[in-house]
Amino acid sequence: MSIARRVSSTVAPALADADLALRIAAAGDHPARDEEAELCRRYGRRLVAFGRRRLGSEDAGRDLAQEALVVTIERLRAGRVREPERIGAFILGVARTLAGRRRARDARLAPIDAADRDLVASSVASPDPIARTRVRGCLEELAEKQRAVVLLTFYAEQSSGDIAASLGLSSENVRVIRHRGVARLRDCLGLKGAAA
Amino acid sequence: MTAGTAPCTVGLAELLDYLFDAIPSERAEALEDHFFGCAACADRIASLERLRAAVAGAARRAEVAANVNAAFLERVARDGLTLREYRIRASESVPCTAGPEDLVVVRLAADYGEVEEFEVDAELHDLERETVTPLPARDVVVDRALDEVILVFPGELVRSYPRSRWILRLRGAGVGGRFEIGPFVMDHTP
Repeated sequence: MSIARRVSSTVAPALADADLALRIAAAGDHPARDEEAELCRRYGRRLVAFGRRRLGSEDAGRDLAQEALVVTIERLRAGRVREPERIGAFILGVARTLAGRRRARDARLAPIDAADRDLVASSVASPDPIARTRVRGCLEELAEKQRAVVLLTFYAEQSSGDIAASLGLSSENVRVIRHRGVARLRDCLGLKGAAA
Repeated sequence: MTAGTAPCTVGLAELLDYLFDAIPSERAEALEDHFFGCAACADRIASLERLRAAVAGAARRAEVAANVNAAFLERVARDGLTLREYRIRASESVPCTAGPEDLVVVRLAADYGEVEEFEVDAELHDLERETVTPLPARDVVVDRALDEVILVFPGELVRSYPRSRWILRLRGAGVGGRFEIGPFVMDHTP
C-alpha cells in the first residue's frame, strides 16, 4: 500500500484513548479526522510490531496494521464498538482476528477507501529515521559481542535461540547481551524514554 | 501519550523477548493484552521500532564493521549487497581490495574446538609510511557451524587504508588453557 501523504493530528496528546474513541463514534457522518489520526498514530507502531511477530515480515505487519486501523475506524464511525472506553482491547481483538485469517491463507485485503488509506498509512509507515552518522558512531561504541547480537537481532532477524545455536552460547547469555546492547544503544542515541 | 493508564510492569528485556523471540503463546498474548492498554509500552515499542529500522538500515548500506555469523551474510546477500569475500586459513596470506559499495567479508577459518573466549590482535602495517597500527578486538564470536570468525568491513572504510599488510592473530582461552591461532595475513591494495 502506498503512502499518499502524512496525516498529522492536532488533538491534544493528553486526551485519553477512550475519549478519542468516543469523539470518533459521536461524529457520525462527519468524520472526526483529527481524533482518528491521533488514534491511528497511537496504535500504528504497536500493530506493526504485533503483525510482524505474528506474520513474520515487516510488510505483512504493516498491511495487517493498516487493515486493523481501517476496520476500527469504520466500526467506531458506525457505532459498532460496544465499549469505546476499552478501545485498545478492541483494536487488539481486530488484529488477532485478521492475523488468524491471514495465517489461514484467507489473506484477501478488503478494499480500503482512499481517504482512509491516507489516514492510516502514515501511522504504520517506517519510523522517523535517526541520523546515519549517529547510528554508526553508537554501534561502534558497543562491545564486539553486543554489536554482533544487536545486528543479528535487528537486521538478520534471528531469535536468541538461533543466535545462541550459531555462536555456541546459551540463549540466556544471548538475551543478556541483547538487552545490554540495546540499552546501551538507546542511551547513546538518546532514545531512552520514560521506561527503560 | 494517553491519560490515566496503569503503571508499566514490562521491562525492556521482556519486551525484546516478545518482539524477537518465540515465547509461549500464552505469555505472548498476556503481553499483548498489556501493550494495547499501556501508553509507556507503546512509546517504548515505537522507540525500539525506530532503533531497529536505523540499525537495519546501517547494515543494509554496508556502513558497519562487525563480527557476525553466516545468517548475517545470507541477509546482506538477499538485500543485494556486493560481498567481497576472503576466506583465510592460519598462516595463509591473500591479496585484497574493495569497491566503494562492497561489504568486505573476512573469514578466518580454523579448528576452534571448545574455545570459549577470543580476541583478535590485528596490526595494520602501512607499507608506504612504514608504520604499524594495532587494531585489537575483544570478545569475538565464532560461527560454530562454519568454524569461522567472520568479520565484515564497509568497502569505503577498507578503501580509505593505504597499501598495507593486515596481520591478524586470534588469541583465546578454553579447556586446554590459552592458545594462539594465526597469523592470517591480508595484503591490501586500495
